[in-house]
Amino acid sequence: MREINPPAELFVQLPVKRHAVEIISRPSVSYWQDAWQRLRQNKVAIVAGSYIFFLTLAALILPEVIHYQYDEQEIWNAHQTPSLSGETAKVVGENHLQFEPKIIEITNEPEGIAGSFDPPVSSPHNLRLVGDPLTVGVVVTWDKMEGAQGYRVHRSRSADTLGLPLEDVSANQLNFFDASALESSANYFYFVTAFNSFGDGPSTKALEVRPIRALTLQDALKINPEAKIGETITTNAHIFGTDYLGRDLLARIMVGARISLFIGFGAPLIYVLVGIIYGSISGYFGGLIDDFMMRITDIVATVPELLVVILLQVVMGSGVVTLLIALVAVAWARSARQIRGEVLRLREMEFVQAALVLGTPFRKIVFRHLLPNVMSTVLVVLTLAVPSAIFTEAFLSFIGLGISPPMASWGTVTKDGAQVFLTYPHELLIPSIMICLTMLAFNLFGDGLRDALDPKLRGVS
Amino acid sequence: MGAFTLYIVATVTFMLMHSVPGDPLRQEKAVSDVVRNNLQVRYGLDKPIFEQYTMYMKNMFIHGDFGISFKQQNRTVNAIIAEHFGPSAILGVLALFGALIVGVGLGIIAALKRNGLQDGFAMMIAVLGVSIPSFVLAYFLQHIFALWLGILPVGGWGGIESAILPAMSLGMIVMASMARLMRSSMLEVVQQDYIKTAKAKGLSRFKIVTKHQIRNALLPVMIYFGPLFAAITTGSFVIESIFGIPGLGQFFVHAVNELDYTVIMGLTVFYAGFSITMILINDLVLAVIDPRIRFSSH
Repeated sequence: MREINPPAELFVQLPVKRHAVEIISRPSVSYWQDAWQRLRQNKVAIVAGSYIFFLTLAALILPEVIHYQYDEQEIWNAHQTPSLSGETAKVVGENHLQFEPKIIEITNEPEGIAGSFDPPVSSPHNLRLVGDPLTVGVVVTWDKMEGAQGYRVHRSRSADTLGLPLEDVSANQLNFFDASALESSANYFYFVTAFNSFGDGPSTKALEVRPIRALTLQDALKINPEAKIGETITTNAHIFGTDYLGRDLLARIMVGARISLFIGFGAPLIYVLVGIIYGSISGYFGGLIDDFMMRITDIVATVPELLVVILLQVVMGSGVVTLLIALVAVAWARSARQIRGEVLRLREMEFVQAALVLGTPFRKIVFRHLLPNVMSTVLVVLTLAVPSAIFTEAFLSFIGLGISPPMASWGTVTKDGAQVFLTYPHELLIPSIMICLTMLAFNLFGDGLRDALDPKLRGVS
Repeated sequence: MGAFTLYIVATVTFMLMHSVPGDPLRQEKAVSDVVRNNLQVRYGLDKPIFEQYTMYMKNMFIHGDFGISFKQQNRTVNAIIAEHFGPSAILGVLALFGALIVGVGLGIIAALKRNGLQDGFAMMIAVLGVSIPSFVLAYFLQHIFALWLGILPVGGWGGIESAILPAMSLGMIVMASMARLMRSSMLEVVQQDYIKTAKAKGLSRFKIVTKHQIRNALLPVMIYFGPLFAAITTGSFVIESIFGIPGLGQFFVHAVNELDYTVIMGLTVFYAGFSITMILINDLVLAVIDPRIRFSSH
């Protein structure tokens, strides 16, 4: 083994840096930075948070840029199913309902076919449309048939069955005007049979008709200011469809989102603030003051919510602000109790005791020691209070105590939709899904926030 | 203390109610002044407000008499409560105990299989449960089970099967929050020293879970039980009206709309009394279950 004898001059004594041991090599992470980092790692919470952000953005912007106002009615366009494109519509004049029966001279009377006691053996020929079939009326005509004492017109939604007879026309009339209101996106089938006193003959082949939307000039001008009678125009698309008054659901839901989010953010913000003040006073002083203040919250919690809401509506008129105040008036007591509990717990902790012993003034104890520590509880209470406020608003509007028409909120839109759920399911489904998604997002975000803010969960996956 | 709270609630409600303009005698058809005066005398509305107040309070607290409804002719408020509290109570009990069993069960499963498939599934149900408003859920349950599958009645009251869907709609949110509460409570308990002790003693896992973990984890869940019971039992008006159940909720909403003084007062005091009693019973039960509460109060 080779012996190494390094010369002593190669060794230099490093200066002793006394402070070096104190240096923290990594940047220090504050409580809030740490919480933010952990929140960022929570994918679900981030998705939920982004949803809330974009919904808020959409609620602010969409009602301004969208083609429809939330209260703009298109009665002719009620219960429209969701679609991405508009439909073609024909502008009709006032006289579109005027109809000329096509009367012919009948020379040889039906009795001419003597000896026959049977119903007609064949069907009328050449059943065809006259003009465009419109949603306000369809005119069909057919060829004259010998031996018919009259014709019976049927309309059905399927090509296989006759459906109910619409009307009998006499033998000298060879056309028929169906003036019922039809749907524009549906197929109808017309049939004509000839009959005599012995019964009905066989029916014609089905005449398939897809009515074109007819608009009066007045309605058409609202969509296209240059519309003229006889022209066709394209109506605007309703992405979410329309409600029973033909109001655009997207516009209504987005205006409703404004109200829901305003109440959802506003009410908890106010009542948590009240709760912080009330709860910290009650919790900090304790004893008789605490007892008395808590008794008041007991009483507030027992007064029925409905009574407060209605009373406020009578006094202040119904509206968003009334609803907001009513929610605050009912819910502040609950949050005050939660925060009092937290303050009560903190007050007994060593650092507060130490501050007291050191003679820290009351104001400083509250603002430097108690409130920052209550903050995480407050934030969680706040995020979880948002969905419950949204729910309460929807609930009150649903039972008719919230927003009054024509203003839209998620509760009123859901209520309108619920009444026609069987025939037009989208009118209930869309607002319900919006409510559920939003509540879900707030709940998931609140959970994520709670996990992120809880120092006990640090390092736990 | 409870009686005092009740008295204050009654007084506040009385004042709130009488500060609303109008009175229960306003009607769609105009009545002549004579008729109106007679009615006012009959119901005591001609007397000064303070006299009305003392009279009402005396009747209520001393005789337990809530008076006669203004709108429903000759029906006493006591009779209304007696007749219609039943459905609300049955519905509430069903909803709450169903929610308790399912919710606590889900919470236990989720906690025992933490971060597993079962946990994810149970918590998904729980978070969906708190996100669906009861009235939306009611419509969907009604359409799925009653109209499409046809296995349960659409509405009405009578027989246990007519109570299932409304109880489900009412209980869902409670079930979901109980599942979440139970899960976090179980996870907290599992870190306690006495669980370690039990393990060190060599107890079987089954015994540790049933005797130590679940029993202790149930306590925080039970705290919410009393208030929830009162809240649910006093009736959700929307659920009752969607399913056409003759419960108390509808009377309250109509009474408030029509300003039917006696019914509002009667039901408010009844609700408040019920809720106070339930919270009291809950506290007593908790003290029996949890020895820590008994000792700390001394």
